Amino acid sequence: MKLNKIRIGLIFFFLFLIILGINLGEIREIIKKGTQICLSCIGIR
Amino acid sequence: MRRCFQLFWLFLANGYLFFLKDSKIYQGPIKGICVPFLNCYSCPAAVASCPIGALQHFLSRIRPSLKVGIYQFGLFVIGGIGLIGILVGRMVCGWACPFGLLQEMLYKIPSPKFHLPPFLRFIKYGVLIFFVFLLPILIVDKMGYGQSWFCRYLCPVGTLEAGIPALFLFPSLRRQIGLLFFNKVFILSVLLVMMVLFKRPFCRLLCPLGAFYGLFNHVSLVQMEVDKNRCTKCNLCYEKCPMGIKIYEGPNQVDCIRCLICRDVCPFQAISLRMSLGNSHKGGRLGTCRN
Repeated sequence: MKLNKIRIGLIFFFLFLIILGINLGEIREIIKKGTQICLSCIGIR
Repeated sequence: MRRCFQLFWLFLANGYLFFLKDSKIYQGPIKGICVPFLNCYSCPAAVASCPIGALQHFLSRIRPSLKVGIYQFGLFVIGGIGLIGILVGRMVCGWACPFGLLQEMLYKIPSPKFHLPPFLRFIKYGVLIFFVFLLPILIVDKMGYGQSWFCRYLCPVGTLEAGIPALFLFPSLRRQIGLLFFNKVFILSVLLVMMVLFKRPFCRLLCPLGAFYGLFNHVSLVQMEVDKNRCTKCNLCYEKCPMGIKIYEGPNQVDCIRCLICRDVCPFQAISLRMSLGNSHKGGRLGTCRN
């Protein structure tokens, strides 16, 4: 029963984080970052 | 069945084939979504983003963002991978990750096979803590920007999916490669050789996302179960396990990727997968059909 509560609590916690992240405009930022080739990320320079 | 899922996810995450025609990476709105496994978003065919890359991006720019009143900490990414972790644990590694598929394919090449020392598995937690979380925040330039340390210095997925293809796709980049690129190619080469000799070396030693998901194995809704009355510890499951674990020592240990190979090879049907939202005696059993 305790484990059950932890699971449900964690599910709602992570859902809350997702919604908060969306409201803070994080998806827009990921699109901005993801639509250009990051040369340093892929180790070109 | 599992191979079908792995191939499905491979093509779903890397389905943008127009790059061959217009020599551009995908720039549409789906890039705002992160796939639940490592898949470099600079890959010309990628249609979605990498959660570890996106997380590092947010963490590396926390200081300048806060100065101008932008409060973005990667909560969308942490929430997304956390939700997947609490639902299925590390099952994504076994059923969806394209790099996991590559490792399993290369291990099929006939060669002498070796075991990895178990203590080496702790390296991936160091990679998660330092390369993904701490270094991008703590080591910054004059402007306050950090780097994506894991992507830049370690990630073999980025080299394979994005770095090397980019050199073919954009010839002008060839003039810019230097020591950093050769370092990453060296890491990728060593890992490719290791994949032939060892079972899933990247997942067991270095993968920060697998380390994160593994933390949820004990509490996830999907749980492995071993019937101790049926198990004879014959080690058939251990021999076939792609992660080299003895599931009867702990059915939900952090390295278990829930690939269900152990369940399929067990002659005593002692291993099962269970979906649970309660204590260990409730919930329905999953995966009893062995097709």
